[in-house]
Amino acid sequence: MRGSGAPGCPRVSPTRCASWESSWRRPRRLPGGRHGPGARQATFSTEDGVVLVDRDRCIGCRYCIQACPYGARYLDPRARVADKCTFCYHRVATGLLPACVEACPTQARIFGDLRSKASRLVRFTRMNRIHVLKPSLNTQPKVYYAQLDGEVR
Amino acid sequence: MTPETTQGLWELLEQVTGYIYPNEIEIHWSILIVVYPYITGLVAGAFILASLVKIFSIEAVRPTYRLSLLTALAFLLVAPLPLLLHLGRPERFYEILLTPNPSSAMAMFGFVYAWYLMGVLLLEIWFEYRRDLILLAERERGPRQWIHRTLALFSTDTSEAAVAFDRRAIKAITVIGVPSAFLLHGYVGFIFGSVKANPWWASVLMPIVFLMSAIVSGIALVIFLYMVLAGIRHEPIDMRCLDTITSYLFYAVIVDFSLEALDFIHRLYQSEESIKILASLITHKLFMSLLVLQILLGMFVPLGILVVAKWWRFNDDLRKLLYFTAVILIQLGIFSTRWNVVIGGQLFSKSFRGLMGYKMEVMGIEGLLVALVLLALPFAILAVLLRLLPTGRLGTAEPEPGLGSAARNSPRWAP
Repeated sequence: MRGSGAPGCPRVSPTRCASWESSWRRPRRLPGGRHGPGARQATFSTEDGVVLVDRDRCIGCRYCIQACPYGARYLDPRARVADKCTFCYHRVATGLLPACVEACPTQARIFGDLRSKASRLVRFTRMNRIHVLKPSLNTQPKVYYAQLDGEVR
Repeated sequence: MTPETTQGLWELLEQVTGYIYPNEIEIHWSILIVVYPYITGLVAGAFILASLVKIFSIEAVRPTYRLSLLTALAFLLVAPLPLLLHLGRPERFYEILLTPNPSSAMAMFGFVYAWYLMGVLLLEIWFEYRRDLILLAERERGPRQWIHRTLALFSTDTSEAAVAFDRRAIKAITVIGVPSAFLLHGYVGFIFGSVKANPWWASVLMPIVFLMSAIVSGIALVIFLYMVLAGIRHEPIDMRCLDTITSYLFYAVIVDFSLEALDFIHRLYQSEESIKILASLITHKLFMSLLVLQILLGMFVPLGILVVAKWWRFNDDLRKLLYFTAVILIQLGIFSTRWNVVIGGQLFSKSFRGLMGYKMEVMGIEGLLVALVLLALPFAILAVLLRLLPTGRLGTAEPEPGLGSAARNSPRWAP
């Protein structure tokens, strides 16, 4: 959330695409892979749960931008299609961490496989009080916050 | 990103107050998306007015029957254009038809539109005009003959049995057409009402409110066109017809207002998390367009005018003037309604902590000029349709008010 126009220092909280999956039945298809049966939408979920936009299929109607409760989507001004955080899927697919996780100097961001009980992320969620943004909308986001400030929505 | 884009975003950033998400600076649904529900509303409203004649056999509004159908067609032909021009990649529009995503409300547009255009409106118009097109083609020569013959799809049967079949077909199509018209504009309301992330839009009442405002705007438009057309053609206005339609308009405005008031009271009483930002939205961003244009000038004033016109037995000329003023104000009000829904819903952050601004382009593809062209285009199409198709049935004893020149100049045909 970016502060602007408010006196004093702006309040900045890290928000990113929550990659909610409740409306994207998976698996759909892998990027670059062949179109599977029923793989009809420009937004799709990979087998490992990352929601991505197929830039060759999106028509740029921007309905998804309107529907995103986290303001996470935008229109790529060059390609004129919707876009969003990809969890650095190009890095994740080769075993690397997303760039923001790797670059964070205080390890404030943790990335991992939610299906693996041994992953650092799942362990962290067990050991901390975690919250999601806008739980009332039942989007089942996959981005969790520990010690979430009530100011952040 | 071009320097112009950066400059544009920078200007918008200066209008931001409070806290917003980074991607929310840009308003994505522009004036063209305001024009789209406005136009589809006119289509649905005009068609529903036409249906009164066929389903409820309200003879008083018959003089506007054909005009209503042609108006609906002229506007329906333009309805997809604002959507098309708004797309980031318009050359891919067919994807939404070829590979629609069944879980997307947006994906249904092409099907709803195609059904209404080809399954309802064109069919009804064709059956309504088939006999007249044959009669016109018989007495004409040259290109007009060919146009009318082609429009009649080379049909030549004007026997009593064939005309009776036309009448039955029209009745059946109208019976299907009314729910289809409800579907067309209710669907547009659903597009907005189903966005649960946006508290300004998310409401189960949205399709119903859209529908009622569509009926209001459609009836008002047909009254406007009927009066203008009669003026252009120097023909008398059927005051019984006008009084009846304006009565329907009056009741439709009352219902529309009640629904919007219900929506407002419901939100206020529920007072959900978003109530403060919505109150701020109304007072800071939509004061003029919502309170002044939509509610005061677009609803209260025309309602007052219609009440005055009905209660005091004014003479015909004064009533015409009052009706004409009321329908123009109603159009202004309904356009403001669309503006307040579409643009208003994007002027606050989904963090519920900040407000943004909308800076309308003038010359760009999503700018004011294109919007004005799109709003004018249906009138141009309608002018062409009116030159080709008579607004009164050929062969009737007396020319009906607003009767087309083609019909007026033609010999009277025995039915």
